[in-house]
This record gives sequence, C-alpha cells and structure tokens, in this order.
Amino acid sequence: MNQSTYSTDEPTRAQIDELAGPAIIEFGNDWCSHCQAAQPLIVQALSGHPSVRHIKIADGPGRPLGRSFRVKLWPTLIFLDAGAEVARLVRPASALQVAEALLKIAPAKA
Amino acid sequence: MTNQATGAFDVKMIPQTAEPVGGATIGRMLLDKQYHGPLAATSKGQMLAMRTAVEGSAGYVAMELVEGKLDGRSGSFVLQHSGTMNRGDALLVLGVVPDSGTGELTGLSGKMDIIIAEGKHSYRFDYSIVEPQ
Repeated sequence: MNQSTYSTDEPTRAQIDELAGPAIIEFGNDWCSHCQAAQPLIVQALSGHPSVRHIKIADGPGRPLGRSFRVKLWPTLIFLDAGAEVARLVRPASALQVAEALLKIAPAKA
Repeated sequence: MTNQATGAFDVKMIPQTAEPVGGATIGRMLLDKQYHGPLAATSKGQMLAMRTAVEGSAGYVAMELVEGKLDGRSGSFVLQHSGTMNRGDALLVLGVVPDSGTGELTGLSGKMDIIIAEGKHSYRFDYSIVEPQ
C-alpha cells in the first residue's frame, strides 16, 4: 500500500514478522517536518517497485511497534523481506539512498 | 525467420528529481543495463513510473537505447516498455521501436520478455531482421 498518511492503527510485531514478500515500514508522523521533507524521495524511489508494500505508522512514546524496532528518529524506514529486517534508513537524504535500500529487498522492474 | 536470444542482464535504476504533476508524483529514473549472452550489449534509458494508493496497482513507461552485439551482429536499437500492474496482475509490452536498428541490426524487429526469478533478471528476445533490399 502506498499510504499518504501515517496510520495510528498499527499492526502487531507478530503480524509484521509474518508479512510475505518485500515491504517497507515507515515510522513517522504527519506533522513531522523531516517526514514531510522525505515524502517525495520515498514516493519517487518506490514508484519503480510496485510489488513492495509500504506501511506508514504514526509513531510516538509508548507505541509498541516502533519500540519493538527501537525507532528513535523520524522518519525511520525499515526494509523487510518476508518479515525480516534487511536494511534501515533514518531521515533519508536522497531518493537514491531509498532506491539502493529497496534493491536489497526487491529487484528493479525494467 | 524469427530467432530467439535468451540470457541474463543486470539493471541499475537511478532516481532523478521527482516531477509533481497535479497531486501525483511521477517518478523518473535513469536505467543503466548490461545484457549478457547472445545479446551482449549495454543500454541507457529513462523510465517514468507511478504507483497508486491501491496495493499492487502501478504503471511505467520506459525507453532504452541498446548498443552492442546480437548473435554476433553489431549495432544498436531502441526498446520501448509499457508495464502495468493491476492489483498484482502484471502486463508488460516490450518491443523494438520500428526502424530504430542501426549497423548490422538495421531492419530489426522483435519482442522481449523480462523474467525475474530469485532476484536475478533474464531476457527472452524473439526477433527477426529484414535484410535491406
């Protein structure tokens, strides 16, 4: 899913661990300026990877999913292959950074 | 006569500055490919892509200039891609732009399939060359 906003309805860690295929979990908040700045970079890099699920989670103190991934800064992107963390980006500075991490979980389609 | 060439290829996708079009972001990528086997060639291209809010629904178009050798014949040609994914069902139309062949590949026509298995790319290229009259 290519969500436009961060969801406050978060899955459990067990549900994330059971995800099939490639996925990105993005922790952040709609009001976070670092998150807003990163959106075009993430969308740009993801446009070439339609098979990668993109799950945006509104994070905050005490929210269990973010704590289970030890998230400290927003946005944090966790790149998962079949539920296992393969790569992680914190406050990505370029679409290329995101694209290179994406290649670790999904081949380019072209 | 139709010939078939199959082999592996490597692809790098390099994102360029995103161009907002209304409320949508259409991604633009540079393609840098290396074909191996009977198609021994390098390719440079550009891709425009967009994924929707619906999981598994997306589309892309791309053009790439392929330069090298095809079954020993030297030249270049242009491939045109039109790929769609409709809620996970993928359809790719990928073929040679008519009359784009040069050198010993003048008169080339053909269709290509891309196969991705275990993270590796391979191609199947069904082609024919009409010799100049």
